[in-house]
Amino acid sequence: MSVNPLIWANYKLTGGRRSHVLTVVVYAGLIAVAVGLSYQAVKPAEYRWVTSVWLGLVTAAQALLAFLLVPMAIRRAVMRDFQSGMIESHRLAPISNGRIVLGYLAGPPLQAAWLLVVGLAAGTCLVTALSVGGSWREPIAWWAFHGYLLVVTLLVAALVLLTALATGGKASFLAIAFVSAIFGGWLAVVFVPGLALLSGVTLVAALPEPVVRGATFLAPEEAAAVLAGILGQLALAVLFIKAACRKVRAPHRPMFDLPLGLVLLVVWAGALIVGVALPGAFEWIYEDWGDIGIAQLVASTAAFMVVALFPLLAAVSERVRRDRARILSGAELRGGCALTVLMPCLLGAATVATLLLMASFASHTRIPGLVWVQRAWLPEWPELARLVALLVACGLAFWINFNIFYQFVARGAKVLLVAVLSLVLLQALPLIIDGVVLTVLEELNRAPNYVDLYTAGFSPIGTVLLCVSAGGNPWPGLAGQVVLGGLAWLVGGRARRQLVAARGG
Amino acid sequence: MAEPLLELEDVRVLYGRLVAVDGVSFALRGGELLGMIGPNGAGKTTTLRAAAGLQPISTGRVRVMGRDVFSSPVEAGHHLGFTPDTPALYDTLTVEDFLEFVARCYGLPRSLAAERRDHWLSELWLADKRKAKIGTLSRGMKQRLAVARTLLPDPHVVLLDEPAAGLDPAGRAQFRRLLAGLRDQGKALIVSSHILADLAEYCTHIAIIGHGRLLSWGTVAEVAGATTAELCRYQVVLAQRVGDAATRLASIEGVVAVEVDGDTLKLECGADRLSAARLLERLIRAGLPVAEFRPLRPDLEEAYLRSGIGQVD
Repeated sequence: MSVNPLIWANYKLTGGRRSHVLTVVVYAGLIAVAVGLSYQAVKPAEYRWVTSVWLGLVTAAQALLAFLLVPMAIRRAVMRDFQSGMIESHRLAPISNGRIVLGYLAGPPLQAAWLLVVGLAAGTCLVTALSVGGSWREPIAWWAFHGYLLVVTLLVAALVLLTALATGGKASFLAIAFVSAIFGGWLAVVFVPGLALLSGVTLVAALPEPVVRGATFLAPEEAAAVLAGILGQLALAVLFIKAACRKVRAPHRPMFDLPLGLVLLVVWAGALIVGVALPGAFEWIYEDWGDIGIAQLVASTAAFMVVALFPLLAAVSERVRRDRARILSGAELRGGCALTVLMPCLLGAATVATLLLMASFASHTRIPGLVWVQRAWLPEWPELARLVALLVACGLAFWINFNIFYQFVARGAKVLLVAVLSLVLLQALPLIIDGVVLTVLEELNRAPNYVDLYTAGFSPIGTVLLCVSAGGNPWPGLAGQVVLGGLAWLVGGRARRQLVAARGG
Repeated sequence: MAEPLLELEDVRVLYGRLVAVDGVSFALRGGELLGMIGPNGAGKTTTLRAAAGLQPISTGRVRVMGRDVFSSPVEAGHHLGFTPDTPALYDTLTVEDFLEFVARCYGLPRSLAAERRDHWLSELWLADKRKAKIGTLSRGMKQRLAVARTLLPDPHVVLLDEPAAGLDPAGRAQFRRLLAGLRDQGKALIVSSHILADLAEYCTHIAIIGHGRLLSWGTVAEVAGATTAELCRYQVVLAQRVGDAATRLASIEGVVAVEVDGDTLKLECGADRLSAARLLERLIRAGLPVAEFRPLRPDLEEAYLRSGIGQVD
């Protein structure tokens, strides 16, 4: 099989053989000279300490190369190809989408990959020098670390590539992640255990131990979390790569089509449930936060609803395509019609099912208010009433978004900003207002209503919060959500009428 | 009749609510060269991009050699070449490396790739630039390199969007010969251009596009003369003015649509050479002092203006 043309082109674009060999030689030489000089500067008794320091530095450099340089090279290559129009040259050529994606994943970061190999070799030498009595344990741990690094790098690279293909390289996933982390986004790892699971924090925290000290300390629950995390990362990487393959020749389509979006949701739901079910694995992250069981459950449900917007958007795009084809040419496209219409209901039901599963696996002692949820699988009144409230709120949330998205997709506009606005205004704002009101009332010594809250019920996440808390009344807020649903129906109807008007040109 | 190499069937492209291409349908067979004309914003580029599978379509179908360009892009890609109006190139690669990259994309064997690369570099006057970085080339050279990129894989269907825009007069003349050569090799070609005189010279068919619609479609003679391909317009210049020239011409069998302007006559008659010879003989027999007799090339410019489309905002 011939070399992937994109890998070959990127190899040439980054200077060809001369530049690549020079980079490797200079990097390897720098490490060798620096390590050698530091050994000369200390006494033989301090050699072990110096080796440990250098191993730490090489580990940091490896992480930096893998998480920063590799994704940056990929994004810049995509941006270059969009700006020069070469992306269309790739689309025209008889190269499969998979080969194009492979070319982007492996071609632009080629130089960074050589440096990683040099780092791996240097680290192996250092670890071998550290190992006591020629033990293989430390080198194996070092290589295991790199195996894990490869998995995470693949995940990050796939996500960066997908984002770059969706935005022409303009949006940087790394920059978004960095900025959101600065503005409190890191809290997501605390309140959404599924995210902690997928981010691999347990393994990242545990790995330096066997490498540096030659010890392993993963408890059974941590080991399970690590395994589940790696499986989840691999599954997500495959999904992102598949989505990127789709995006190569269908830039106008949403990131995920309906089947891919639903699989993404299933993987995400699995991670959320396992994350809640293995609280011991992440105890060290949120041990200082007190009893946040309910907050984790609600935040995890909200996280599920955010990711559920991907299959929802796919359903909207498919619906618009079908409506347009019917209006413009009278053609009824075959298959999957009902699924696009029923998607809001399906996603609403999936949200409630995920919540119930998370609640079923959650610790009783941590979330006392969950007793009813655990009985909700075989509900009796009033459990049934709360279940109905949850189903209506979640179904309505997706239905409102379905109609709003329809309006924008039909106009050919970008939906990302609309989705963010919808999340902020319809889901987060009522909760934020409540947070402010509760704080102010507390400051004024006015006995705030922590049970029914104030505006939270107008948000579907607020309804979830009221339903899983003991004694909360979700019904008044739910009535407000029904009114919003009516408005959304009008917006959707207007968009469909505009599609008909477009026929007239 | 041969199978069409390129078929567009009721193609519609919508940008939001704007209908950019509205129900365009046509088919091109081997040896047919379609010139696409229309004002800026009429939908020429969008139609070409849709034909290449680069522009998503709202309804309709595009097939190249019987394969749908959207559902089977890889299979269709083997037979399709497209040059956009702005050349898409890697500025930091050399001309030679760029064409090697293209050959690799199309899976050409090394020897064949080298042979074709040398051929097209020579055909497009780029042979002495093979080691030059693309970024150092002039706009016209880049345009020629983009055409070389399109032709290197030897596609059956070639789509060129404003290919002569960056070329000097010599380059344009050379380019006309190149297109005529490709047409004669049996390829199906579409060229969008504003240079109507050039199109009249090498195109077999013309499509006038306005507001996303195909306003006029046919052979050059059909579109230009708005008449059948069997008739041709002739211009006759007399040695001196003849008062009853129109009456004398009307009496000649087969002559239609006579225009008299002083000593210059314009008329339509059979397009074949025998008809032309007979017409000349009868003109002389009718006592007209013929000083000059020549068939007129179909006048696309006139046809274009006659179609009534203005500039699109």
